[in-house]
Amino acid sequence: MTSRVVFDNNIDAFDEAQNDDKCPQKEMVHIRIQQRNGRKTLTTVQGLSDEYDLKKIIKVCKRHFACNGTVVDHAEWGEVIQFQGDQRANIQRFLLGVKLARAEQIKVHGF
Amino acid sequence: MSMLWHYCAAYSIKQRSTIRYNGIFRYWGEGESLEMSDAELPDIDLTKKKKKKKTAAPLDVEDTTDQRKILDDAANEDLFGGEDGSNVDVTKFDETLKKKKKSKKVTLDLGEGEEDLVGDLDELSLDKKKKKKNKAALDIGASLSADGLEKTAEPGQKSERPWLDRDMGRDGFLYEELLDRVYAIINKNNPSSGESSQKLVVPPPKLARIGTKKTAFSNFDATAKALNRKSDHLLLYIFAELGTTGNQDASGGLILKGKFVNKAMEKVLKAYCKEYVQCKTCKSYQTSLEKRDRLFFVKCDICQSERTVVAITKGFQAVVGKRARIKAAAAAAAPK
Ligand SMILES: [Zn+2]
Repeated sequence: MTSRVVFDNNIDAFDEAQNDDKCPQKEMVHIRIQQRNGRKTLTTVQGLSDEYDLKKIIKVCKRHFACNGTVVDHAEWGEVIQFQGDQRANIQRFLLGVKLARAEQIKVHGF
Repeated sequence: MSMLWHYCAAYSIKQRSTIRYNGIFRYWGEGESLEMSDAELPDIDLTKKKKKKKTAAPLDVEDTTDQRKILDDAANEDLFGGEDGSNVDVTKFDETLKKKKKSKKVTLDLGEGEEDLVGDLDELSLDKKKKKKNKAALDIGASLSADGLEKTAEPGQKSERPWLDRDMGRDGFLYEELLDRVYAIINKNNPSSGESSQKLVVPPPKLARIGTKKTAFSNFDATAKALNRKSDHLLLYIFAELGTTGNQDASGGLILKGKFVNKAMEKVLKAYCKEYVQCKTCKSYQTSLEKRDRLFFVKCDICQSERTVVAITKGFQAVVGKRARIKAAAAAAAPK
């Protein structure tokens, strides 16, 4: 039997967290940048929910950011999006704008 | 703080933030209902104000500046007593206080006044937090962004009384200036209560390009030492954040793959400090990191509070560079 935390207002904190907004995104989204040769960079987006169709996301993003992008399936980290160039600000704005993730779920790494 | 009130009331303050004004005032007023509307202002010692305005009006600037300084000095002595802060008559600056305490026959000697001041200061610090956030921030060298530096500049560095050489008739006293001055004086008189202990001075990262593809972070070890962290931990964080690899050299430097500039490294170091150095409870940077049961704890040396921090993970790393070579290496490493 597991005990659950119930606050004064009789709302089960765990239920609340789980049902929040019916948003399938539960984990943190990590947006990273990697340097390639020369001035070229690569942006990776890790941790998006499985319920999202990443291919569709990419399709839109490619056009809006004017860059190429792919989905990479990684054994440990699951499906990860890659974009060419530094798209960190773009993808962050996109995720927030389309409400795929909440602001506190997005972590932008790098400089 | 009746002194502040007097200052504010006696001289016209053109720009002031009402919210903070009230907040500060409430704290200093020790919970007594001292709030006054502007309509009540004229009751309080207007003579000084009028005198001021008159002296500010004439055209020859030299003379007025001198006069103003004399007047200001006089007012200053009224407020803060002598240079050493003695002879402060706290009661005489506050009408309400005077009225209320008249029956009690006030004998506020200096010792008591100081006690009050310190007590109030503690309360005040809560209110101050918002404003001082910039100040409490760590200094990664002097090369921080210019606007950040502007904000963190100590008020003592500016002229202590900037209004002396200004057209008082037109501009008057600015609330911000007066506030800065009050804080400067408080900090001067109470060195221990300042937020100096929350400051962490880290030498600015020295980055230099090696060839076209590598960057040397030459004072890497010194930085780790200044943060009181093992260089391995900081190294891991830098690699994870910058999405790169590298190695340490013999002279305490770090060679990173890729091109990086000082600003980028400062940002990474700041993020590191926020996540792995700063105490979330008291905001101090004097902490130590220890590992227990496969978990990392940051323990504060000041308030002894502890918190867990996540281990550094690099996360997904995209394949960049020579795929063929990586494939070949993988094939060679695991043939059977
Ligand atoms: Zn602490």
